[in-house]
Amino acid sequence: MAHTTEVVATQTLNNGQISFCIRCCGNPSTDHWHTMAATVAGDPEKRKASVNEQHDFCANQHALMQKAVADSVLEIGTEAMRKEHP
Amino acid sequence: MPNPIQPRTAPVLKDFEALGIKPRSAAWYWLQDAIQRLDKTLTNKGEVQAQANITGRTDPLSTTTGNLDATGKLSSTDAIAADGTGSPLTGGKRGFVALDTNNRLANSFRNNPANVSNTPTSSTTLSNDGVSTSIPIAASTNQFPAGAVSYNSGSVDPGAFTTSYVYADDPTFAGGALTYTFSASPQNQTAAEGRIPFGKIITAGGAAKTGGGNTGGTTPGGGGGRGYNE
Repeated sequence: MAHTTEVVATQTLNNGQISFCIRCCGNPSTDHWHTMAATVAGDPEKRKASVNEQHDFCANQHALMQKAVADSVLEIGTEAMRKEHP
Repeated sequence: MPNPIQPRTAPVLKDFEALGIKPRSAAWYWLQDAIQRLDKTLTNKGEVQAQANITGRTDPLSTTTGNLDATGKLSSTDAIAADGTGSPLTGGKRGFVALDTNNRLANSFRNNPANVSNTPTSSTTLSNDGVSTSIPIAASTNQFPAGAVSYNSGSVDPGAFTTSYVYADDPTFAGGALTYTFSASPQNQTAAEGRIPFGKIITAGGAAKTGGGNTGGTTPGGGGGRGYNE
């Protein structure tokens, strides 16, 4: 399944850092804030690279979360999820 | 309700005149004054009128007594007046909600996060691959005395391989998506009432490192949370 991430909010922190909120598939539960030092945020190339890395992280995490939910539903009540304690 | 005596003041005085009270005499004026005062303050049932006020006050009695119940007690602690900046009586219920019967905090979520012990349930939460300067912060859960609070993932990028203390502010223990921030100064971990430390990580180019969580990973003393044994 394809995922789409986007920056939905920004914050300028009082210690000179700037933070972007990255959201996957329009789902607020995936919100991932990425905070950068001014030396990173102030350089367009560094900023782009830094944020892109977290776009990938956020999408990957959402994918893993969805797979975990799907797998857990299938496993509940199965032999694999049962354990004897003699 | 309008007092039915009001329209009859003049005819009443006429009746008294017929009994021999001289018009504009001292007794006549006293009677007129008494009738008007009764008219303004009493109903025809002999009850004090709601719009009457106590001498020295401009608010009607209905306002003055509006916050009292039938036994004369305050109907709500919200009716306690504030008496200046920082008044402890403002929003009087706050104290009653926050304290238990032993006059202690009802639970630690009534405290400020900076004072509350908490342990990350993950062994590590911070990581760095030694290639990029970014530090991903894994989604995690911190165990507080009053319950577990889960936090979304996040990340920080100091722009260099260095020692970073990672923290975020969650003054109401809401959990969810936090704006993580970082500093090279350890004291910033306790520089705000709502601050929760997520640990320390020492990153280095060419080597993967970890930190935070309840072990600190590859970073000595790098655990997150507060007040537990690593």
